[in-house]
Amino acid sequence: MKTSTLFLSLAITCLGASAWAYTPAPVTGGGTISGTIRFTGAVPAAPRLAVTKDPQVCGSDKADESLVVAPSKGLANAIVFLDKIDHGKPLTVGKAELDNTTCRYEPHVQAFAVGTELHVKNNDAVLHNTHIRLPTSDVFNYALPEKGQAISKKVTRTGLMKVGCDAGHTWMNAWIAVFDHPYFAVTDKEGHFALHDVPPGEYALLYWHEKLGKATQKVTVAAGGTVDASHAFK
Amino acid sequence: MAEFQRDEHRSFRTAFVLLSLLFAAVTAWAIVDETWLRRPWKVPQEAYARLKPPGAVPVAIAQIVVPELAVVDRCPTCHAGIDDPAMVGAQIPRVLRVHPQRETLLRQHPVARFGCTPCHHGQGLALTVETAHGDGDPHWPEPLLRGPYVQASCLGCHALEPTLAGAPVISRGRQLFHELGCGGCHLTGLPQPEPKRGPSLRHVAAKLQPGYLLAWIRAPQVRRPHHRMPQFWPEAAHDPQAAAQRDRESLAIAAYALSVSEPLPLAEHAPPVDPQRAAAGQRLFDRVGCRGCHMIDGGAGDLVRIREEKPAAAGDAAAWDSFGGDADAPAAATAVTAPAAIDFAPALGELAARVQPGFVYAWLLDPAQYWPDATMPTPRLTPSEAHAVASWLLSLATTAPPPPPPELAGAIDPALAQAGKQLVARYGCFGCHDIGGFAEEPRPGPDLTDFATKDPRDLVFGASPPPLPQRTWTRFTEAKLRAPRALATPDTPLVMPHWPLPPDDVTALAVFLRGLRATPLPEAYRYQPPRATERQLAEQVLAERGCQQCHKLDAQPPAIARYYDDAHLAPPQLVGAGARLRPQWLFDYLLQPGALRPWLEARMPQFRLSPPQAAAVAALLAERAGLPPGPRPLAVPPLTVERAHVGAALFERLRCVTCHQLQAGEGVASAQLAPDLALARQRLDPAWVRKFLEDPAKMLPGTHMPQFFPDGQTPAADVLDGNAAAQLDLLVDYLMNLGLVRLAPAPTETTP
Repeated sequence: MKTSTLFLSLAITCLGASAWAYTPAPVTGGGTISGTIRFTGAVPAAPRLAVTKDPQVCGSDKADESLVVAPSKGLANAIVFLDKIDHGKPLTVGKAELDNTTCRYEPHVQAFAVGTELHVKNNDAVLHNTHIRLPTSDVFNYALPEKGQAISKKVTRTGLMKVGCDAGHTWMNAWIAVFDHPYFAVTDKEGHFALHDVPPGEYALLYWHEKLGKATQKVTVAAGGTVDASHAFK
Repeated sequence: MAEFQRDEHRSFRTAFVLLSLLFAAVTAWAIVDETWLRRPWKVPQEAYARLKPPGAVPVAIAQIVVPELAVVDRCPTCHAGIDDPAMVGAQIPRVLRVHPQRETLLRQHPVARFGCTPCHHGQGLALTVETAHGDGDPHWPEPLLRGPYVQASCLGCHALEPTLAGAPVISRGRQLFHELGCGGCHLTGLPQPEPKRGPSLRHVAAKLQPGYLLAWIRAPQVRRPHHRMPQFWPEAAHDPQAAAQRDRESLAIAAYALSVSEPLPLAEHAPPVDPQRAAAGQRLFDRVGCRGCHMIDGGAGDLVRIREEKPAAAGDAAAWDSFGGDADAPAAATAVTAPAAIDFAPALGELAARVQPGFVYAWLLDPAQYWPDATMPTPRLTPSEAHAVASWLLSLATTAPPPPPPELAGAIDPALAQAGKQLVARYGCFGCHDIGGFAEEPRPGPDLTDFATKDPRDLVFGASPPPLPQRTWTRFTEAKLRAPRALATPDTPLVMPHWPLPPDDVTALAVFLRGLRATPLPEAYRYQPPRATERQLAEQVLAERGCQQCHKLDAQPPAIARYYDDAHLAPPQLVGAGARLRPQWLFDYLLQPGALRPWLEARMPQFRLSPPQAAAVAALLAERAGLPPGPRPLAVPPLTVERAHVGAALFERLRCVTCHQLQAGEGVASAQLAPDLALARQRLDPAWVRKFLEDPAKMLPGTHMPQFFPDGQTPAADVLDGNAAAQLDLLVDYLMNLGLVRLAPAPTETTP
């Protein structure tokens, strides 16, 4: 039973992978997709998150980071990526960091390529556990009882992952998106993003934000050209 | 004279010659006929030989002799390929094909040891189709068992196993026999006689509204479709005379039941229903675990009513799938599907129309006072909580109780009650119900111990029986189960009541009955599964007490899970619990559950199990977790003072009490609390704890417990030379000795 389930999931994974498996190939005449993501609606006043544990380390309350909008209406922490791209520049597999600092995750939203080594660090003198999960399963759940302790782990799964702390710090949350291709970006404070070296062609560009949901747009990249793919969440 | 004599001799001689020639011809014909013409068995034999290499298979009568079973079976003469795995596929003639499921069935039941007819019946010695199958021979008592009926034979050797994986029909039949309470009226000769399946009527006046009691006796299935109670006047629907009889008799039976009812002390002291407490009662009902077995209206409305409405967070549901997460199914994870009705225990919406108000309070506090064998566990509510829940449940009914007829409204007429007593005796109500005045009666229905061998000629096929060849055992039994009264004659009135059974259930029950034989097979053939009785006892407890309504025990999520957004607030899952929990602790806890996770509102009820039942469940859980059943002595070395100090320091370093504390409060939400480690020694298996500390999610999927030692690394490099394995060993020793002293309270924190 277990074995057959394993094989089934393997088969599904392979099937899914073969449907839009990403193959690195030299890119000639690559273009750029860039733009700004804005939030044009009224930003609701977000009450600060109450700190209910370890106030001597965590402080009395924390900012709600689920919707961060610049005065220019630029939307931070949105993820932009090409949907189901199957070839292009090689993946950059490097190192990523996730810090627990004064009972807050830094960065709040990040994206990296599969195979990246994630360096999880605790800068607080309390127990944090960094529990990273996909919708139906755990990616990992490490305890960091010591100040200054860090654990490095290669992330071998893809998808959108939610990060939380079970050690009583219920307000702590962060997002990690792991891709099997290199065409993704997280918007900066002003909502800017850019995807470089995109092979010429037509793509579906996806925008995601933890509170505003997702949106999609068709983009056509001409050889050597730059496409403005700005988007406004309302 | 001499001529005459000569003549006489000649005619004699002629006659002799003619007769001799005739005899020779007949003999020759018989030899020809037997050898070349009339040998139907040769056809399949030769066909089989042709399928094999020339000369490999002799064409001959094949016979199996099993002296222990007094069996001589020539079935393989025609069914030559029965044990030959090559004989599969459409091109092989049916008669030659290999036995279905040969790999399992014939491997476990070798033809040489079991023969054919002990399972299939028929006439083993015969060599024509009609006589061998026995269908064409009205004098052969055991014709071939066809279709699912062959499963009846399993019972001969497998009486100790209620469920047989390879024989679903008889397993279902046996289960139905038990569920429908057939054993209340009929003995079967199987181990473990059936208990009375219907609720006790000893205190019925304290439980039911008299009008409802009467309506229920008259037409039980109409009132509650899934109920087991059969109809005693099935003809009343279309026969006015029978309807009048039903009205007369049901009234008398109700009058008798009420007249012998004894008082129920708890109900007499029940506080009156208080609408002010209904809201508190509803919250308790939703949270303590009642929902695992009971619905209110039996529909999807139940879920909507109690599950907290969550705003659809875009970040959660809609967008997960866009990221192409590997082998995850986000849609399934977040979709809330409408629940299938929970059909384990009665829906309670119309309770007030059925029962006396004081009964609900009494039943919630102690179901055993009303009915010692009740399935319902004691919910461990305080009197005040029981009052609140009763107040809520009794506020829900949309209909009023049916008004009682004048005969039941006041004092009961003794003559009517006496008539009712005779009817209770006649219909055998006491077979299923504990009812006053019928304590020591034997079972009211015929003993079915040898029912399978009943000669059809002795069976009564109703007022207009079919011709003899059609009067078969199967036909009688299925007709009887479909409509028992239809087989009555003026000489043999029948009282067996009517269950509206679907055709498949009729067949399943008939197949089970076909297996009931008084003559046992030799001891060596009867299968004695290891721990059969104990395992059967445990499985019965799991099924009948609804353990899986609240606890996950296999792949099936429990019914109650749908009511919890956070699985950590639901009753704990018990997959593999036999490895996690020590058998003695499990045994104690099953008998006397306590507050293991005091922060949970869900509450383990008290099932009033007997010690053998609790022991059997503990053993079954161990067995399912792959451990040998039986006691597992605690192999933990005593802790030296030095190791205790290091252990305490490590325990402190790892900040275990962040979560392992006893109360929600200072910052820890109840969903994130973890069990009291002071119980570890008595409760947990040290080997399991060791593995759990190494990789918690592997041992307990979905746990909040983080991994402290990933990849064999330790966060405390200065303890025990930074040796993670040594630290793990020490932590296990420390935890297992912690039970000897109380866990220190969580460090108090000062607010700046």
